[in-house]
Amino acid sequence: MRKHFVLAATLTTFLSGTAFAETLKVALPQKGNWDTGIVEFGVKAGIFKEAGLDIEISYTAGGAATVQAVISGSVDVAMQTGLLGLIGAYAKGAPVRVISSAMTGSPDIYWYARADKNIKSIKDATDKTMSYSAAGSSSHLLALSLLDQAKIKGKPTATGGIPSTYTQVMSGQIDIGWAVPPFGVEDLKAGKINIVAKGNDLEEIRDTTVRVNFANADSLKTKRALFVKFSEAYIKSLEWSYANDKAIDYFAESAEVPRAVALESRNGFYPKEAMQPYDVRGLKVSLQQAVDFKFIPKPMDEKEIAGLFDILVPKK
Amino acid sequence: MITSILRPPPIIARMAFFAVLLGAWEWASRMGMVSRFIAPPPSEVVPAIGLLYHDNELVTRFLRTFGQVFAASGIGAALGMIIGWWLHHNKNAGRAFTDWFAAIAAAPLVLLFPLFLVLFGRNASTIIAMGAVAVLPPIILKTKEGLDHVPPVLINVGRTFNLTRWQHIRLIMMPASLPTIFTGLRLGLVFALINVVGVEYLIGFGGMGLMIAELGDRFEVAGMYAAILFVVLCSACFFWFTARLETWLLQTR
Repeated sequence: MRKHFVLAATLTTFLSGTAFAETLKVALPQKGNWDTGIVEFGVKAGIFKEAGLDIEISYTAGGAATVQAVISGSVDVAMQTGLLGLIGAYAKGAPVRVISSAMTGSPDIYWYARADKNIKSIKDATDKTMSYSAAGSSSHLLALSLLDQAKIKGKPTATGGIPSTYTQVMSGQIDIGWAVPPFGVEDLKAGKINIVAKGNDLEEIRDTTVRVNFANADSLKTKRALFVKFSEAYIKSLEWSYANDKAIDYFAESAEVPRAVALESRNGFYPKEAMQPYDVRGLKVSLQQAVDFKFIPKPMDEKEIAGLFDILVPKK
Repeated sequence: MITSILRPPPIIARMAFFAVLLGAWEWASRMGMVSRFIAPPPSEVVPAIGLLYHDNELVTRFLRTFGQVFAASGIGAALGMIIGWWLHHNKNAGRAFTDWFAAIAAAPLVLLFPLFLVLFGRNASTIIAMGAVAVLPPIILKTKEGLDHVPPVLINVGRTFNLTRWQHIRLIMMPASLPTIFTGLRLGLVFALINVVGVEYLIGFGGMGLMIAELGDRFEVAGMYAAILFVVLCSACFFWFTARLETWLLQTR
């Protein structure tokens, strides 16, 4: 009798746990950033498992590669993807739907100079080389807008990824580099570099959604309940990450940086409000940028693009 | 009649194979077996080449890429032939280093791009230097091989005529080793093209490689495949041209 009871209890535990968990493949564009780490933290904290979800994380190169991964069904949901690329894909008929906002404004991206260069603000950038990753990228768009807003004639220069940009700045090939925390935070604290500008210095960008989370439109039709469940768990994970210090430990571990740097990165560069998942804001600005950077061939209005958005969890 | 259909001339067989391949791709895409957002049908890709010309400065970018390919090939060929000659001339050096160059030829040198970025900065110098490094191994190896295999009878004939050192090189060694050196040059050109386009793509700078990266980022999938197709076609023309040049040079030597 006792044997049967133990067997039944084990079976019940098994069925209520892994056996009934639905698997969802999630693409993250970068390992080791706070914003892309929210899903990872939620998985480690058991939030997704509690919601009956078994999350399979994969890392992509971001941009079009991520969009193609979602379209092909290799992944179900992609996180923190640039909105402009998605507007371009949707305008060409790609079956993609934005299911939540991921980043409003650009509080995380910053431009820095070597401390001995005496470039303290964007106003000192006249005739200086100012880096961005690649033509058409968000860092390109922001660098041009920062120079434009300050009415400064700098020399925007493509320098590629964050580590190679850092090397070029420190070796004197470039005056002003770009980065995203936790990269560079230790150097900032040590006084080796200083911040010249931040993405959120731009008024028009501060309240504009720049990155979103999205899914395949066809999958969304057939498995809507699953995606809603995922979005709810994501929001829970987001809330937990800002309320619980354990998330800092996970962040430090994932980014392979000291805990103090992880804490400084989150508190200084990722305000909770910027990561609100409910509203896609400043669409007019994004649509204009999409035309300027050739993501769409001709101007579109908000109504034409409305079908791209299917926010699964509205603000209560 | 039946034999000629079953065994068509190579050019017809080549074209027919290409047509079947394109037809299968078009059919798979139209039937929805392959998403047109991942691999659009040829009927969308080919017209997109025209759009590249209008919207993406195809000619400027083509000239930039091929200018870099020629610069890299020129530097690599000059250095490669000198090193190849040295390895042939100095037997100890030949025994010591030939295997190294063979190993380098098989290595994915493109992965060294971060080092070159630091050394040369994010500009055309990095792309040309990386292209030149890729060109070196095949030219070194083929130059050495060509010189090593000059028939002894020719060398002896030169000695009989009391040729000077320069005459020996010009009249015996170079003409006799030219076919093998040319094979190295053709391989080097192909390696240069692959590396130049690859590095342009990786560092987001330059001509055709950058164009492919930009089109991909903007999700212009047909345009991206059109640019890739254009590079492949240019590469094929390039290969054909060097083959003709080789034939002509060998006939006139």
